[in-house]
Amino acid sequence: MSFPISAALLDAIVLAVVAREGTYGYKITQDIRAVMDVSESTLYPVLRRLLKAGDLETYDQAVDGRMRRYYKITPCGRLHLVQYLSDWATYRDHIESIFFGGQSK
Amino acid sequence: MNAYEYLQALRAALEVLPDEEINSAIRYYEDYFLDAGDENAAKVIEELGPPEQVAQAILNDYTGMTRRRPPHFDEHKQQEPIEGIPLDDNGKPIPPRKKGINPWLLLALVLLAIPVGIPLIAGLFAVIVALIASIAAVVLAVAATLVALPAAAVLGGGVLIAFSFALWASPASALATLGMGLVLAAAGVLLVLLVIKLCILLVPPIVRGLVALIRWPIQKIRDCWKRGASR
Repeated sequence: MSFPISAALLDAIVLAVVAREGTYGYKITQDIRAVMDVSESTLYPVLRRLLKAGDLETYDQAVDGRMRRYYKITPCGRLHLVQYLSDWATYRDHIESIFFGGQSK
Repeated sequence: MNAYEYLQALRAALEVLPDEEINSAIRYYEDYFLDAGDENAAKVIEELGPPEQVAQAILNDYTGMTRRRPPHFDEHKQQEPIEGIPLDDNGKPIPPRKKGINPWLLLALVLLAIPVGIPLIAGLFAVIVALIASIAAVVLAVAATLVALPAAAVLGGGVLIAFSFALWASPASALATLGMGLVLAAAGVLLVLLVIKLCILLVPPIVRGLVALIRWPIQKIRDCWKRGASR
């Protein structure tokens, strides 16, 4: 794609994916790769950053006789996600007014 | 290279990081390989790229983190006139909008939240008060029992001892009563000592635990606000 994905946008996308349900690294990666082209190694630093920021938490759950690490969103993370979503809506409206809105100014 | 060797190489490449960071990264990629399944290991390795590259991404992010500036919107970049940035009539870039929630949206959110929020908060408050009251009641009941039981034993013993003096007409029952009284009184004294010992052992940690319990949510909220403010 011609538009690179910024770190902030990636943070917002991961927050949004994890906000839907408690989920795990592989699934987050697959969910995001289903809609956009990110490398498989990009997600760990993002998750780690969000964990350190207190936007996500981990918990372990037994799956097939092992403990799989799950991620879930914290109240803090939800707050930041709301902020991201409203930022995104503004951003999108501005770009689209240029792209599709003719000479709007 | 199989998954195991890949993880070993990754661990080696992350060596400079603290153990906690290394383990967390290895744990993530271990899970990743396991979730991808054995049959996909080769594909995953190919798509991840060389372990050194994966390590570099983590290291880059780590140094970024320790500077305590999350790699966020880059304000400098935003102000450069880049192709595709909206220009006004004079060919100057339109200044980027301020970040933050649109005030109208915020107002709408607050207004929407009021009818739900106030009863919710009141209910929450009531639950908390009820919880505190019930805990206090239990503590009081336990304390009362702990005081009353030894006191009753000592008192009962004393009464039996006194009563035994009224029974000297039949020395056998007097002696038996006196004996029982002494035993009861002694047991009471022992119980008193036990209760004192228990208090010394248990009260400080309980109080400390309670204080920590009360401080925990307050601290959490404060952290959340601080982080929010630093963004």
